[in-house]
Amino acid sequence: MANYTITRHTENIHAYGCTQFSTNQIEGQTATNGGPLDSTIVWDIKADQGFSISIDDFSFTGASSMNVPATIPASTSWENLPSPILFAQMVQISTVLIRVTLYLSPDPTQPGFNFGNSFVMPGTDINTVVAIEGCAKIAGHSMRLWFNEPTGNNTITEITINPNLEKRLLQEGEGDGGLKSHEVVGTLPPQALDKVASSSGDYLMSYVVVAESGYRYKSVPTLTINSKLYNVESFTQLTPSEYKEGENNITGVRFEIYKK
Amino acid sequence: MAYYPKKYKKEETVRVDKIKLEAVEEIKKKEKAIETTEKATAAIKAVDGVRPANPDQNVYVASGVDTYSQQGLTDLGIYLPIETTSQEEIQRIIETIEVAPATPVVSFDLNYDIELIPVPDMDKIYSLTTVENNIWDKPDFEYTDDDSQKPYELKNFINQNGKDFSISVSGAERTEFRLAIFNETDNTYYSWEEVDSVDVDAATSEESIISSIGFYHGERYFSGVIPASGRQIIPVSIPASSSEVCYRIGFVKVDSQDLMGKGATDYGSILPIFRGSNPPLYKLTQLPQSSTTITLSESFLSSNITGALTISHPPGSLLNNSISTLGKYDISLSFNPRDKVSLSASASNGILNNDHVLADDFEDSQTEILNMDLIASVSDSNVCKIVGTITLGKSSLRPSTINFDTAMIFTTNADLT
Repeated sequence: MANYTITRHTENIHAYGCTQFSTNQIEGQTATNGGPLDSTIVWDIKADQGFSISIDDFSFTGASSMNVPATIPASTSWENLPSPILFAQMVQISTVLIRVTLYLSPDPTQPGFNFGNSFVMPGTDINTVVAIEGCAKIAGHSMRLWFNEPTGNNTITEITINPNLEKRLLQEGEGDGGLKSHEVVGTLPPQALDKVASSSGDYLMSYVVVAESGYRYKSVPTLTINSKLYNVESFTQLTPSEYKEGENNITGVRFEIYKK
Repeated sequence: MAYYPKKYKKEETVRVDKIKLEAVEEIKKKEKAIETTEKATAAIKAVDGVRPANPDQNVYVASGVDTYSQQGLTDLGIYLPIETTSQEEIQRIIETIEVAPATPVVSFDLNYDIELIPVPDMDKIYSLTTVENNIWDKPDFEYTDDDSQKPYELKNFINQNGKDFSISVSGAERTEFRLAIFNETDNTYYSWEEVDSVDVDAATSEESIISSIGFYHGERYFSGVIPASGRQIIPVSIPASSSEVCYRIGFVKVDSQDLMGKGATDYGSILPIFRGSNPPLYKLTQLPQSSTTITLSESFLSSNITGALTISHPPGSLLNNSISTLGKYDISLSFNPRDKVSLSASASNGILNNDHVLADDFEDSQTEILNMDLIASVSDSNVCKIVGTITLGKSSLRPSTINFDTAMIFTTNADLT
């Protein structure tokens, strides 16, 4: 399932055929901007509910990506598309909308689109297949995590957020124990479908639990979660005993927290 | 561990600085957006007035949402340039954006069971025992309340042949200790190292050097270190002795200047230590061969007793376990007094029992009498006799005497009248 739909961006001046993806033209008409045979065909790629899309994840099958200066909003430019399309552009309108523009004539206002011949409607119907490849991602969502700890128990805790998410997630709390010893709030970025519900998921943060000097844990500390959306991997910290050779003490654990 | 709070503070500082920087950037962005908006408004005014001259009018959604500045669009997740984007298009794009529901709290509950890391004892001695049973006597502290009595009860001893046994010292691993055995009888100390001594042949006057372990003058001790097993076994060989010897066993405290930086060894409060009267040292007693003599007590009647029987036996042996005697001995004691005597009223029928034996002050130093079949009699020629058999049990530890009470068994005729 693609998790997105492609529709044509309709305009009043167009005479559409049996579907919005076809227009009726008169033989000899030449593709011009705003003319009877419009030089641009505009499609909208819209993400389904709960998904988001990015131009970085979409491409035209068989076409070549053009190296053009960065634009605002972000866009990608393409050439070597099926005739009679000269160029194409994908523009990131929003997190759920990509606007695709197919050019039937050169457009000097667009970097690199200034060569080639404008399309002239021949005496026979033209049917062109433009293949688009791309995947939607699960839309990023807000999250609110509480880390609840026993109080006053000779343990130090610390949370280190994935550096890539530091601008999205905010951590509060000093880890002094009790309800909400730490709180992490923020909005997660879109998540690739192949990571969704996978065992590992996307790495969010490390939650480090360390015993104070002179203390050890009788067993490896555990972290229980009231949600199936998150996955935790734990890594035990063992410290060699000062008093007994070959014996280790459990002095800490690092929990790696993932969003499934 | 203590660096964590400091780290938090540092992060806090960094965060504040970061927030300040972000605020500055935010202001710059807004200023730029306002500038862009002003330019766009001016441009629109100059063209055809599609947009209202007042930017506060015709703003999409009357809810305070800013759709008229570049920053406002960016905040809405719309990346189109404000100059070329109509309000209708903004409205259409906003309608495609999903409204996020309220965020539920996800709880991560940490559970653990923490304890102090056990610190093993160091430089501590736990016990002083022997591998073999019944070698020495520990002081009986109940006796110490009464200064007139010794704090020991002789329960254990070794015989005149000496004994090889092993002392066991338990303690914390790597604890150093010093153990000494002192011969109280001749003021010598046991040496675990061979000591050279010169032996002179009396006949030839030739001298030879003999190396041996044993007791020597001058303080000597065993210097040991508790191994990983927590117990060190120390062999001891007590030499033979024909006389009773008393040995004292205890630890020797290490002088602080000898410790080389190590902590002083802790022997606790009940282990025996030299150079101190409390707690008392352990006592090892070596007893020679013992004996039991059966006779009649000396009295004015009995000056020349014949037939006294002396039984030689190891101290504390069970004479009734002897295969040859079964503890049964024939007795024939007699004396011939000057005065005419006869059996006393307490032995009128001549049959003797334990009542006719003089009680010893210390019952445990007397050989046990299991049975007696003894008849006392006085012959016509005035010879007093005790004849029969006596069966003995556990023998005395030291030489002892079973004294039949002459004055109780026999009496002069004058007494009878």
